[in-house]
Amino acid sequence: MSDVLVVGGGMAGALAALSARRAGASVRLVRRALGATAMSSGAVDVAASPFAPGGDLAGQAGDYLEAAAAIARVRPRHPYAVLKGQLSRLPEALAFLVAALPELFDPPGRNNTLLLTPLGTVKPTALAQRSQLGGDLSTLEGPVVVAHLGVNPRFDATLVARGLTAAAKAIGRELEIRAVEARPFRRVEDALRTPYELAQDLDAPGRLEALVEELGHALPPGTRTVLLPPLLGRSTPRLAERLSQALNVRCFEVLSASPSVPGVRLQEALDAALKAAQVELLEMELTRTEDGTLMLAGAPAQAKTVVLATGKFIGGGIRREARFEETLFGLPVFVSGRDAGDAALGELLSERITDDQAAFRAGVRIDASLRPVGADGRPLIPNLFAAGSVLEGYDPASDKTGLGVAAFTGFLAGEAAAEAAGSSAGPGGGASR
Amino acid sequence: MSSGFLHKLKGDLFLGYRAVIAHPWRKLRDEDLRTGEERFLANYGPEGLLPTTAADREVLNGASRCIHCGLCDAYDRSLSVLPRTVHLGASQLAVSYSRAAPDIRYTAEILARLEESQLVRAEAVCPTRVPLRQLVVYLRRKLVELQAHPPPKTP
Amino acid sequence: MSDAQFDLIIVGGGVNGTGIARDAAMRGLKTLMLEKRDVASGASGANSGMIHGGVRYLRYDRSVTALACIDSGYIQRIVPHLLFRIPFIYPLMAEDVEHPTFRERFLAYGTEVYFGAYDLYQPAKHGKRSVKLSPEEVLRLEPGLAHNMLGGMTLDEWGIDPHRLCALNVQSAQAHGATVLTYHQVMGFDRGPKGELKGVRVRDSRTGQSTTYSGKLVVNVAGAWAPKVAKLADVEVKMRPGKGVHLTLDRRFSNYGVITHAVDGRQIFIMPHEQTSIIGTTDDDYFGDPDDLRVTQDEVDYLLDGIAQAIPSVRQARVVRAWAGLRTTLYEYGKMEDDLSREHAVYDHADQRAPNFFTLIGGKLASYRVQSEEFTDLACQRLNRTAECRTHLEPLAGGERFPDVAALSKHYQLPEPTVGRMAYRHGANAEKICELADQEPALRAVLCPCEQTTYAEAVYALRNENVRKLTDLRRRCRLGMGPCQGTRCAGAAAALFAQERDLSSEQTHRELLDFLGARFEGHRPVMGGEQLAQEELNRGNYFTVGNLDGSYPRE
Repeated sequence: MSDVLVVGGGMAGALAALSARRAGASVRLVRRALGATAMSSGAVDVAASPFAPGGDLAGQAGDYLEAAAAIARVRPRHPYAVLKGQLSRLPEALAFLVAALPELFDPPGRNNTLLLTPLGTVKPTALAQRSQLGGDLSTLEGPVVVAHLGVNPRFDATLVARGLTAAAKAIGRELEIRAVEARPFRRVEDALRTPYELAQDLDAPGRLEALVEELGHALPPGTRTVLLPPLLGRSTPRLAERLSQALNVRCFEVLSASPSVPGVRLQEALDAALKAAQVELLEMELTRTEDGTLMLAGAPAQAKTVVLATGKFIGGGIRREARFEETLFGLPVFVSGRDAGDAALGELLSERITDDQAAFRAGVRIDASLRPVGADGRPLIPNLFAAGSVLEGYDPASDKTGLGVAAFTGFLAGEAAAEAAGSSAGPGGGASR
Repeated sequence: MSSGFLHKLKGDLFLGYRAVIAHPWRKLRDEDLRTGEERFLANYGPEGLLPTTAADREVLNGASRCIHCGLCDAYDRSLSVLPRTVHLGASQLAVSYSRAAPDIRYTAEILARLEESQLVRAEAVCPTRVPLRQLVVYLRRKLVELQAHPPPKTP
Repeated sequence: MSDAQFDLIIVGGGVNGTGIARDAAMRGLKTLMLEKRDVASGASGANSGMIHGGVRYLRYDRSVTALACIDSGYIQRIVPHLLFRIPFIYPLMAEDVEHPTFRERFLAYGTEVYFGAYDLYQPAKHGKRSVKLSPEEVLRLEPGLAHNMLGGMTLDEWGIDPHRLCALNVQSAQAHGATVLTYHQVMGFDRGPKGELKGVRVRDSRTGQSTTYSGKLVVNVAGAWAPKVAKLADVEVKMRPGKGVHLTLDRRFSNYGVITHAVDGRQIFIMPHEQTSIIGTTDDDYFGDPDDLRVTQDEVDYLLDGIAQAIPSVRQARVVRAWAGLRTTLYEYGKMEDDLSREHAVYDHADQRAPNFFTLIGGKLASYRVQSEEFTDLACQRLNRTAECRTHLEPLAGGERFPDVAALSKHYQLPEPTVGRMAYRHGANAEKICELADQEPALRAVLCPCEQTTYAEAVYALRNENVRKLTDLRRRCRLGMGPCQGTRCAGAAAALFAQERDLSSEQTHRELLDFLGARFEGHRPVMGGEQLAQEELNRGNYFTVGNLDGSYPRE
């Protein structure tokens, strides 16, 4: 019997587990598979100003706490709004995350950084991995080189360079930017390898040195910053730093879409932190019997409190076949402020892909204590808490609040669950039964 | 031209002739002793057009859950055994190899070297529970079936 | 004003337009083809994709069936790699299998006779003889079928990728000297003193530039837009556009097609098509804007419910896309009657005081070649040219022979499944594409892993197949048409497109957003189950990470 059982092992679940451990609870984390965190860019979005119109990069680069508060004002169902009384603890949650993953992160500033993507666009993010952070459009020093690394064409240095030039101009910076090619990957096979393989290749002995040599030849003299494909090491988080030192030029990787090496790095770092904190990590499926008993590998999964961090559609926490369902407890799912019921999908999807899509804000409603509630606002199951993208009201794609909400709600939910476990009467009561 | 009565009558008379005389006569003279199913499979099997069983469909429904996130490729141990010029990774099992039976013959070399044990971790990390190992079993099963219906010697 | 005077100006780049362009150019006519979007953007790119033998005409117009089967044989000859066989199972239903009614038994025997009669024509298109199946045999071949059958009859037809067919027609036309301009919209006609058409005023929708081209004859093959085009010459073309909706599944549900009936008794089908299955179709009068065709939830439900009645397990299948096209059903028969089909007509608008102006409307994809031949014969006659049609004799690009996939795979070190798909789409020209990959090793990489489109294939299309927008690329090489519908490949494809066309980053992002928007239109009506997870990932890649929505002002 553990104090806290966390269901789901992405950012939200992992932070809930770590936060509960910090509060002294015994924690088990059960996870069926990987989810959106492992597919993410590996950088943590907290919030970008909802008032900054499209194209206003400078506006998107502002203070992310202010942006979170602004979102809480304009989106009443967003977790930041529900938790607005605790928004002041956002920095604490981020600091907690940074402290748990020191190999990946340094403490962030107050403003969003503007980081480059492989599409040659720029996006605001609050907390990026060390290997990504120097690519901040506001601070990076020119002359900048965008380097293509040989036969793998999925990274188009020319497009990134052009995008960087346009974006720099948009925020009033004149930067000298060039695209070059270095060829550490030059075998026939390399064109067909997955990004994970290429990143892993750079971890191997001698490969970093080969990359240093290749880049050394390719970089024009005077280069100050090099932007590279998101492949800088599968399991060597400090590879970018070592590369920078060796070349005496600041080297960074751009962000990544799926398949994402930095995303997997983030997930693996979270897993390592869980292990270090003595969270029991179980890789299996949790099920629930008709009478509500949670079962793990055929036996009841006993815990005093439970944190639901099962994700949205990717994670499998929310599904929609004939109707929206929360898949573990059957909690009511809310969308557009109402119980989803059998709301027709057509009503929940705008015609234009760039418009807000209500369906992707569907989720479980919580109160200010992170307990799932019904339409009347009352908690539905004792000692149950929820965090992450299973929650109603936020959409990482339109709000740019993705992993930040997961981290924040996970952090708070773990604390709340540990506290409830500390004051709960004993086994047998609550969410696991 | 006419969609007129006479025109239509001619058409129906032809069919009537077929129904009453020509078709029964053809069936009477038919020396092919094979069952309908045998004829059908002889017609279409050599082109890889084989039936999809209920068991097949269960595996394929699992494959259909793939959202092409690529996480399985990050943990696919077969990548160290098979060169990339032959096999691109576990994700291909769901998004490519198992989509159309006639193309399965192109995976013969890959399937000869893939082992389910290489896919255990890849399958465990899949967010939508694509049954990668069962897909390998399915593909092998189909390859065997396809071998029983070899393609014709095309001119 | 352009100096050249064309013999024939073709308005419309669907299968009829591209087919006529090829035939006319091959016969030495100076030909110009204009299409306001991309080839096969209308009905020619939204149909069931079959080169069938016109089995439905067997009852009253056997000559039509005969000619359709012969022409299907011709198309196999000229582009064999693009055709794939689709066996169909036609279940013979009964309410109570133990006690079938007389009508049910009559229909069952009638179907057997009908298919047996069709067998007479199958050899022309290398089709197999029909087979009669017992109920148990049907169930073994298609285990998903609900059980109240007296048996089944089978026949086979040929499927084709209609987009590539049109693209190959265009390539052939250009190889024979035709000028083909996509993204060029006809804005008006120049007329002579007797009202005869002398020229066409055209606007390039990408640059905004206008040009006039002069020509001796003009043919309007603009499909659903034919009435609009005709109006520009003060000519009335009446049409009853019929909207047809299809659904695409992420993979083949079965290797056999099944024909069944929807709730209103209409025949509907599920059939394998390349690496997917297609469910179709509807037929409703449509009087809206052909440029604004949408699929409704009702139409999706109608099709799914209909197929699920016959095959309940189709409900577990994953529908990735819903799409609609407009059939150009004839409103009335025109002046130029033809023997080839009851479904198409050629109008000579001299009787509406627009000499030299013709409209070819209606018809079916399967008969495009013979329809094109018929019109080109007419055009040659008017221009006093004697040249025989050879479109049934000369192969389309890549149709000369089917390559040895295993050998190519070994020699060029590409995975065999990849070369297999390449060979399906390009036939003998797969060798050229592999050569390209050999010269530039980065092109060996796979751009769209679902459809096995390599960078080399995409570059080949970009350099040879009239690609003007990113979305055109999907019609040429199936980019983004697999289960993930572009989640994995759209961004990389946009980057490649930008490189080949030297675009600015803004132009690149615009192309990418257009591409993603077009895909989204197809997903929206069927967004449930796994599709929601897919779209969540798609949004993750292009908006959360890619910030495409935040990078430019909202329109």
